[in-house]
Amino acid sequence: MTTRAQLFVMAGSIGLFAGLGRGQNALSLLSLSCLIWILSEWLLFYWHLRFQLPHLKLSRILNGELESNRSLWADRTVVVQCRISKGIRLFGVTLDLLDVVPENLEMVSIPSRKNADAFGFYRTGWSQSWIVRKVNDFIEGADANSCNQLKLGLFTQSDWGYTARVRAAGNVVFPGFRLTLQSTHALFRREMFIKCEQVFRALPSFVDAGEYRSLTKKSNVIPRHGIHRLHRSGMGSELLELREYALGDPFKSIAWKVSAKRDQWMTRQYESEVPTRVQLIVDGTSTSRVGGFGFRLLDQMTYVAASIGRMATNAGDPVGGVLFDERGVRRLLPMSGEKGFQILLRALGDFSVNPSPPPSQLNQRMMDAVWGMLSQRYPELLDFKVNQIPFALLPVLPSTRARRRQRFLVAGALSEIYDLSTREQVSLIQDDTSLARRIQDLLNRSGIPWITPVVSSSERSDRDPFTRMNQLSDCILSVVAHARDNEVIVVMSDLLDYVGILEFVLPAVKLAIAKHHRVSFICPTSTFQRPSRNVSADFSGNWSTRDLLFVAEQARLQIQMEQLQREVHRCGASVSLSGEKNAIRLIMSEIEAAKSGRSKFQGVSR
Amino acid sequence: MSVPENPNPIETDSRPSDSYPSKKVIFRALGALLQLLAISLCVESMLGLPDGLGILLRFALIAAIMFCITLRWGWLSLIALQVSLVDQEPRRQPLEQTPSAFLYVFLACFVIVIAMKLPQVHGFVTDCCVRFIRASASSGESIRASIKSSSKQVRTVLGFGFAIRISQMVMSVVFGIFLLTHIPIGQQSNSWLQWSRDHGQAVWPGSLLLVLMIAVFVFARENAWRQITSSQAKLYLRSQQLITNGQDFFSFERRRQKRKGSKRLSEQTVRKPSSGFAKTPKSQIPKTETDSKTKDLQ
Repeated sequence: MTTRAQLFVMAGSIGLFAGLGRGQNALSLLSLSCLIWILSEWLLFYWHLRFQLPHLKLSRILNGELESNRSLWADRTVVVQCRISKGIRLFGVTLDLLDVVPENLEMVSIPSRKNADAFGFYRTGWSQSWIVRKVNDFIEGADANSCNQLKLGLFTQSDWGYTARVRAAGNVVFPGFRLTLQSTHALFRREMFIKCEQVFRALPSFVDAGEYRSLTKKSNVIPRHGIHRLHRSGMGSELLELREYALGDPFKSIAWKVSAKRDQWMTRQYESEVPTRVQLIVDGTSTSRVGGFGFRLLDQMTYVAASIGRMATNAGDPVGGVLFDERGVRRLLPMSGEKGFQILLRALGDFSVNPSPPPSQLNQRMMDAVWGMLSQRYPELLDFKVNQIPFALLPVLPSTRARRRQRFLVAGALSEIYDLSTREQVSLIQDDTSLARRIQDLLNRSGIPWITPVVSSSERSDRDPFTRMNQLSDCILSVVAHARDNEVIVVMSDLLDYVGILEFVLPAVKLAIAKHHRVSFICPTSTFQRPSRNVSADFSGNWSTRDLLFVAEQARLQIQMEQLQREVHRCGASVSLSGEKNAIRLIMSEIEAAKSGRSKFQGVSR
Repeated sequence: MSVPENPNPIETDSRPSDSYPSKKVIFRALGALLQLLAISLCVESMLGLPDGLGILLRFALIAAIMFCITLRWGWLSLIALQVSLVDQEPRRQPLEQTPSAFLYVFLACFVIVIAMKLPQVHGFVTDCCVRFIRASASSGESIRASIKSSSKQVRTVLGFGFAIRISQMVMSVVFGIFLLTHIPIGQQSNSWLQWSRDHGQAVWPGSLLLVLMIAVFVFARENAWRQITSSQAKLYLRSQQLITNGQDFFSFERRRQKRKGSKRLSEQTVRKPSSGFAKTPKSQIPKTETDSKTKDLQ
């Protein structure tokens, strides 16, 4: 019963007994009629709630398939169709069906909106990004039985749907539907959440530009797929150099004509032909996970890693990797072919799922966020009838009392969700730290990215950069220990802010280079663009504050990039930025140059 | 490091950018205003205000009623009508002598229901108008189609939906009349009425009505309790436990936190960095004067 209904009943009761007491028949009759009318409304509502709603069956189909073991792709659209597999008949009540859309999806279109708006029944009481609102009046089409809200709803099997774009790699969890059954005059309302959980793995997107090859002709004999010429002596087919004969050289390698001309034994030295393995080291520590889905540094890194993997797979090179974060290190064995690439993508997708966030302090935004979440997904736990709070005289101020009440309700709901004991519930009420921890966990589990309510702005900086650098160094050393000859090690980590403590990593890099590996650093950028000196030229006339901030950030990045390049080039490694998506080509060019063994790349074609 | 955020999803309104056409908005607003005005005039006329009331005061009253209805405070019209009846209706009239009262009640109920439903009705009616006008601006075919579809909807909605609504309301009034005139049901009704009039008892059908109301209330409440889920039941038990033994739990928890805090503090004291000097062995510590005096005394 809503507040309106309570007030209505109160007014009717008072009027009835006042009329009876004063002997005023019209007053008594008016009040009694209103009470009977509201009773009939309740009976109608109760009949729907008790006997109709349990028969409602809902299902969700993604891209035409019902199974949830399929994979989605980041940056691609997905068509979601919600189906009422078993309909119910509605009469005199309205039913709002809301598909709770995960935060990792960005709404592109809501087809049902047009129909809903056509008759003005589209209400906007609940406005959240992950919710698709669908009024049941229009499920059968706007021109047919479209007046359910006026007690005409014939509610049969039907579909509605929307299109959404996957923001980033990770997972996409559709939790279920939110239902609001309401009587026509909004006198009675019941909100509930029907679980219809579907979990999809979202694979990272990548740029598929084919196989990169040099414009210049490098050899007469093209090595077979996956084999690259190395400018080092070996048993390949291309001549590397001629040298004087040394004891032990095979006779078949003696250059007879040259030996005759020079009058001394000369030996042909051939190039080495080896497969080039690409080792991707991806840093997934907490700083790279902060931000909304699609805006995280990790999203840039997975994009670049997947693109490199795709191109290396096209070239026949095996791709392996090391994925590390605070939870530990996951090593991927180098694999080639389409199957190996799929394994890499799946590993990157799983790695992109956010773990438990770092502890943060409790604040009001966090409380509001969890209140919204609980109202949406656990409305029955916030019912004052069952989630009662002990009475207290203090605090007196209404705002403080409201905060206390909110905290009690949240603590009760959380203790029920996590099945906590009463002592732990009391601890949630009294201890800010434990409450904040539970709230963070719930929000994270519900698919909220690491943004301000989940992670406070003060927690965003790296707490222990030295540990991170040591971990990165260990990963490089681990790769070198497992590596064969001539491998390309691509380190994807946010190093721009840590140029000062790069000496923790550089010894490992030097060791890798000494072992004849190529090391390339790829740093994500917070602006998602490659910093350049003449960025101010892009803004012709009007300079807004946002532009100024952007230019300042770009200038800062440019300085940091130059410092990083100086440090990294000293030990023979290369460095690039992954912020701009077009920079992938540049990175691939550098990797191609590293593969060929030349110091500078001369050009690429696709 | 600053990272660009996407807007907080919890605070974001994701309504699509497509907006209503301006014509539609105008007609919607006009239609809503007209309907509001009509209902407000009805309510105002039913209040039976004295003729000598100033026109400005009447306008203010109509505006207030419109404001209340817009805010979905339709129940206030019931209170207004009740107050006017308390003031104006003659007392102690036999029920058989007030047939005009039945008509008044029927109209009042109708107005109250419409006032409560108005925010939903006006959207439908104005949309029909908008569709018709839009279609007339395009072509004759569209006009016919629009008229056809609109008339069909109007027939469906107004013809069936309203009929059901009105019949529900009529049934409520008729049932109310039945209750008032026939309670207590049976032969003793008239004698009860006569007795209550003779003895100045005013609430002659009130006792049974009160019992009925309490019974309905108990039934509704019981029924609501029987519909709660298992998690709600567990939560209720938790909250009851907290209400009953909350003070003890809170004091335990406070003590535990205090102990935890003091323990942490003592750990910090132990871990307090030294001054850099090595700890002097006890044997090398020179005896103070107090110690030597004590020894002498012993």
